[in-house]
Amino acid sequence: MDWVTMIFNGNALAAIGAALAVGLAGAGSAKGVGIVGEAAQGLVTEDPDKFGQALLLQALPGTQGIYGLLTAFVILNQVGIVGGPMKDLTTIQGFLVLASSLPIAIVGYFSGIAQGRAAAAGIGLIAMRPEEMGKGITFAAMVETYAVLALLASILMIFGINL
Amino acid sequence: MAIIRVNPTRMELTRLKKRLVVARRGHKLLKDKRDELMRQFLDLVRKNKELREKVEEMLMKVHSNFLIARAVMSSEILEEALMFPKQKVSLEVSTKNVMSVDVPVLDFKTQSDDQSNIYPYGFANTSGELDGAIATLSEVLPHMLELAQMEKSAQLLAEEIEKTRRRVNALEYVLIPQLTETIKYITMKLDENERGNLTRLMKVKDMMIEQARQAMAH
Amino acid sequence: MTVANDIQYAYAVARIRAIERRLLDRGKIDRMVDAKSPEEAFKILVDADYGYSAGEVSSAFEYETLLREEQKKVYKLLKEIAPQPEIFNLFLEKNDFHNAKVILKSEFLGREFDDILMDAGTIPASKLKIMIKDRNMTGMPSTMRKAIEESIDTFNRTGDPQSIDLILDSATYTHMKEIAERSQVKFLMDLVKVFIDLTNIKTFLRVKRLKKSWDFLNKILIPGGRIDFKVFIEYLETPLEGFIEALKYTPYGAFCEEGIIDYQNTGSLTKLEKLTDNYVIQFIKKAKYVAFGIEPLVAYLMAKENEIKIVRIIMVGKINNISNEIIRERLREAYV
Repeated sequence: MDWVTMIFNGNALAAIGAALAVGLAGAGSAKGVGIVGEAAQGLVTEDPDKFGQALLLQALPGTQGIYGLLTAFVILNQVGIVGGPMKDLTTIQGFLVLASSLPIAIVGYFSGIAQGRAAAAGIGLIAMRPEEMGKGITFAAMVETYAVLALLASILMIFGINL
Repeated sequence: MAIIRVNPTRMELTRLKKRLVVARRGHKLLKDKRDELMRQFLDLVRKNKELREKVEEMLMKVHSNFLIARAVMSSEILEEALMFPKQKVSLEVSTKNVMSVDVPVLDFKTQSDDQSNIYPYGFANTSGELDGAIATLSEVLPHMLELAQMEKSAQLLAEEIEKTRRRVNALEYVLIPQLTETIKYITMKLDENERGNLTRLMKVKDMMIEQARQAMAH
Repeated sequence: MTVANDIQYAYAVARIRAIERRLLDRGKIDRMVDAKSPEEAFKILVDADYGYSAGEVSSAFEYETLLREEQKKVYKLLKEIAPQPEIFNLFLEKNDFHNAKVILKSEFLGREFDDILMDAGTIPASKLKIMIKDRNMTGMPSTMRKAIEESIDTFNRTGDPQSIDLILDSATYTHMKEIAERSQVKFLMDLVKVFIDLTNIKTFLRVKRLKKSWDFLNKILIPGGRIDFKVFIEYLETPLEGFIEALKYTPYGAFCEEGIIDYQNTGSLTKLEKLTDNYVIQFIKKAKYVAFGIEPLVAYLMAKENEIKIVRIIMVGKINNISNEIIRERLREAYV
């Protein structure tokens, strides 16, 4: 059973963890930015002057992707895939690294979408009342808290693992 | 005053005198007729005025109701609602004789007697304000017909009064004076003839007496 | 036809939010009412970018053209931006039914009335005309086909033009309900129920005023609302107080009480009709809290139709020199 040992190879598990962190958080951000983008298109069709404000709101759900990438970098760095020499991880260590990538992967995905919706609603707000834009951004940014917490958890876990 | 060119004969005189009597009687009758027509006419005009004011007031109400119904419905929906009338009205015209004037009498019949059955539209898309306008309009129709009948009667009566007045005047200022004058003329003419005759007779009598006296003297 | 993913509406809703700002607000409406001349009121409309040909229509008396264009503009916009434009057929079908009424009546009268056909329906009026003329109605929704067949049959038997309207009116709402149910959007289903109930309440009062029989009432009430037919039938011949009491336990209790009491005092349904329209506006205001979904689009459509109604009241009033109080008495609440 060659492939079983291959999958449960510690290094492979760590790489999967890094991929999940980038992939899921990035997907969440992409969806979120996409939703806001659609809404922003609707707004700008009617009111081209609000492009700047709309862009600001659209950028908000983009952070989850960055957090995911950051987590992935830290993992890869710790394992030595980037900046070598590559360490030899046991299966247990591999699982630990994989687990530590999950907070940002899962929370990043869902908070990205949630923040996208909040920001798209903010587009509706600036369509009606451009002067209330700060409040719109604040509401959307509240979602960010949980992405930041997840990032924190992921990073702490990675550094905590004794490799 | 001109006199009629007639032969100043006794027969003519009798004829003219008869005509004068007839003319006088006619004059009196026509005068009575004129007064009566006048009375009826004034009566009618008064009633007409009242009715007219009432109808105008009702029409104003219909108009404002319609305007409001028009304001709360789109023109397409309003026209669709009213394009196919439900109630049918048939009108019969007969005449009535007032002082020898034939005035029209309008008689109308509606197809359905049910006053709630005059609305040709559905209720879902139309406004309740339209009901009011239609109801008032259906109420005002009989009055409008009555008004039409009255106004036509008044017009006919006025024409008749005018005609009668002209006749009375013709009799009073033309025919009767003419006849009187002519009669006077014939009478005078006849009287003169009479006097001429008398003088002639007296002269003849004198001459005969003269002749008789001369014969006696021989 | 179910709305699977409300995120699809992000673009449309944002666009609607941007356009909503251009709806006439209380201030502009007040300025129109206070205008000294129809031209002055008309100018406010032109400034609000009403219709397509605002620049060309010079006379205030042509306001209807502008209103018609504005309505078309709204339908076109919604069909363009809505991810599922077919849902808006819910609001367009009533124009088809209107056209069907006109076509049937002109056929029976033997006269043409093409100028009062509406072109905002889902089936082009000319096509509908041919379909009805040829009695070949396979291309139309079955509810509509059945209703048209029934009204032709009823008219041929009774010769009563009202029956055409009554049958088609009822079918309009039945069909709206069908579309709403197919869409599975609760907001739409509730909205149609509100329409049906409000129409039934107004119909009930008018039928009562005309002293018609319960049999007639039963025939013209529209099924599918929240208020049961029994309520209407029961109070047809009793004083209105009982009816007010019966409505108290429905969402319409409060304003119906006010409207019906006003009707009892003045004999006019003006106030009630206004209050029912306001209720619909209140109902759709819920959509202001919805960020994704069809609600804001529907709300915009209703708000625009309401606005067109307001503008028509003002313009008719201004042109005919109706006093400002009478105009204000009839003005509906604005959405914004």
